Amino acid sequence: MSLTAEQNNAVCIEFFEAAWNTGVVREDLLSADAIDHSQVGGKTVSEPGSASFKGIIGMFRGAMPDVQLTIEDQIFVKDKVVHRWRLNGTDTGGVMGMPPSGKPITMTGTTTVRMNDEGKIAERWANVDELGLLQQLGVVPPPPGH
Amino acid sequence: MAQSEANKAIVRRYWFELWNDKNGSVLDEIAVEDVKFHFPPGQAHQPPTLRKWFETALIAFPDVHFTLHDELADGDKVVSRWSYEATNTGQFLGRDTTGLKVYDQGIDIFRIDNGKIVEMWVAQDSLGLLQQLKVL
Repeated sequence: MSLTAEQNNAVCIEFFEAAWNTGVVREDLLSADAIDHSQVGGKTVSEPGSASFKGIIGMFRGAMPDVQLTIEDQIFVKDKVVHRWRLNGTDTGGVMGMPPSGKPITMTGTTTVRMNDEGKIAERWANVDELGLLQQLGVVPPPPGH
Repeated sequence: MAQSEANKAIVRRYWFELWNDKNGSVLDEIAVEDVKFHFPPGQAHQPPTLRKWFETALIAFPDVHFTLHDELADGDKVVSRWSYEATNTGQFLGRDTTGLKVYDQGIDIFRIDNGKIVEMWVAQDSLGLLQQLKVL
């Protein structure tokens, strides 16, 4: 008995708010063979399970321990949930191995989730504005004129 | 539900007729002239209008070909998860042609009003694109 689209969305909100705001990856909301297709941080292999979620969330929470998630748009139909979101935090831990800059950081992204029939997250695709992050840190120049 | 299907059909024309068939004349039929863009701060290419975007992208990547991997529609919104392959055979961001093949993927959200695209939220891997082009 699959959940409604609204229930699926509620599960995704619960999962991502817990993960980003408290650092807890809720394995009870994640399918055991969940696939995270996102390529954040140069990740190329998507092993099933929670490790990829824990890796990405741990990396950014390590850099910005005060990070907070704001979900700016939610679109959900059947087994799919799309969130357009923003993370705000302070770089006190150092991003991607760089020394801490102390700067306030905003990171934006859009995520698509596929939910399974048990109402658990089965697949995740995400686009994160990593170039914007590096520009805020002053590591790469701002976008050229257009 | 019927509205969602109609909205999906408009966005499919955006991907297949505009970008893949390179048919700029469909722009007037599927989008208003002043589509409101929401680019991430790190978007490499931030053209002022959709028409300008189409024209400048085709100078840099005339063979660009999109694949639509997923679409959903609810209310006045349509979401597309896409990827493209392209060859950089013209100037991009004021830089010389590299001849390099690039791949990108993203998730875009469209708002449709009265049968036309009026607003777009774009999310793609600009960092990966610039790395593939050896800009970074």
